[in-house]
Amino acid sequence: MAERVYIIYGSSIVQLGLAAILQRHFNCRVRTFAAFQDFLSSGETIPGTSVVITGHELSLRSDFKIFLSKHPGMTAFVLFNQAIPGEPEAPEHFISMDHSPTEICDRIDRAFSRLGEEKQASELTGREIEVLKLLAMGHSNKEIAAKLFISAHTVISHRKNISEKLSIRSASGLTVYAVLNNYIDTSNLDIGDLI
Amino acid sequence: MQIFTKNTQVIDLVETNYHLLPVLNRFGISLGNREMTLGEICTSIQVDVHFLLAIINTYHNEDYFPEKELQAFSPKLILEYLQKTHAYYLEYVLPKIEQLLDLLMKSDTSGKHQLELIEKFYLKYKKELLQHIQEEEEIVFPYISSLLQEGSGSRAYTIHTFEKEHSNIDIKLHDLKNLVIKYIEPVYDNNTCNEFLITLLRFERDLVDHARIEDKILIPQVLQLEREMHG
Repeated sequence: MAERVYIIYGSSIVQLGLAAILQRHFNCRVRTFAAFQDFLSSGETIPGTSVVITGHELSLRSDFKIFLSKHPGMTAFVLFNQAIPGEPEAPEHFISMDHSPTEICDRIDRAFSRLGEEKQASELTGREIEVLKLLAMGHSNKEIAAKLFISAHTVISHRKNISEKLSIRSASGLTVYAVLNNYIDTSNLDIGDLI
Repeated sequence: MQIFTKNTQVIDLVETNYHLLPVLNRFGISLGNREMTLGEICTSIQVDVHFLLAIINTYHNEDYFPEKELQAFSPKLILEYLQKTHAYYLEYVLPKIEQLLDLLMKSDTSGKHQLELIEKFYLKYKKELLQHIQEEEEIVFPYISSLLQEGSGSRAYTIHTFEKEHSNIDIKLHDLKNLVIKYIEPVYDNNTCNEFLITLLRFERDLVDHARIEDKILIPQVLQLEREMHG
């Protein structure tokens, strides 16, 4: 299940009501914000699995969409204050104030069990291991890009995926992981310097 | 959300959130106060009760914002409190982590030395944490003190420089914990490892709450001071 749930919604009655329902069901941290800007300035942009629930208007905004694309672990749900348009074929990540608490929690549960399956199936790809090895040897993103003939942007995207899969985000932490898994030969190296 | 007031007793506070125990200690409050309320205790040891309440409520409730209390006390108190928190980390938490890590390494008889990597990583983390604390104590706090002595605040530095410095260090602590949970072979004593992890988890949480007190209480006050000073 998600590590965190965020609710971005103007009405505080809705914020509090939904937070109470989700907190009881998922037993995880739920934080509420009145506006997207408040959410951004709260610094709550930690990678990892999380759910963000917003109103329909915000879900269509381009700055919100860009934000989501940069946070692959975050799943967005859209909360409608009336019946969902197009039910029953509507997307699964739509929830409505007409739904019972159980229905709302079920929908979020389902989205997450799918995410969990995807996550479990994923070990590091060959390319990701190459990036990890170079990273562990202390190379910068730019240097890795040059060595592997890919763009720095792609290196960053690999790094993001590696961190997502391993739940390790710092370069030193990834180095420890690489050494533990014998991805780099440390016989002639002082590991203390690398970490 | 439970809000503590000057009528709260220590026993209710501890039953609600025992992480507040060391926070009370930072104010010079120990246990054994019988039926005394927080208000009465504070009067007897000359601690500003509004300040105590602002701190424990902000610490306990993520969404609590101590607007009312903000006007009621001096930033000098916050600096003192933060310094005591730093001392608690340096004198109690870090030595405890090190002691447990040492025990954990001794319990590993596999000869694989995986935990030595964890120790190296921890030392790197510690170095950065100490650097950060030192910066706060030697640059940020003196800057705020100078603002408080009216008119002598330097314009070259502002509190903005200080914001969001925490995150890199927090990431390493998070990684340290995750490496042990996910990737170290369990060739050690389980109880020791659990205790080591619980200590890390508590510290992680304490740091988040510590950062929130800086962000929600200290920084708004300093911003106000800067506005008064520079117009």
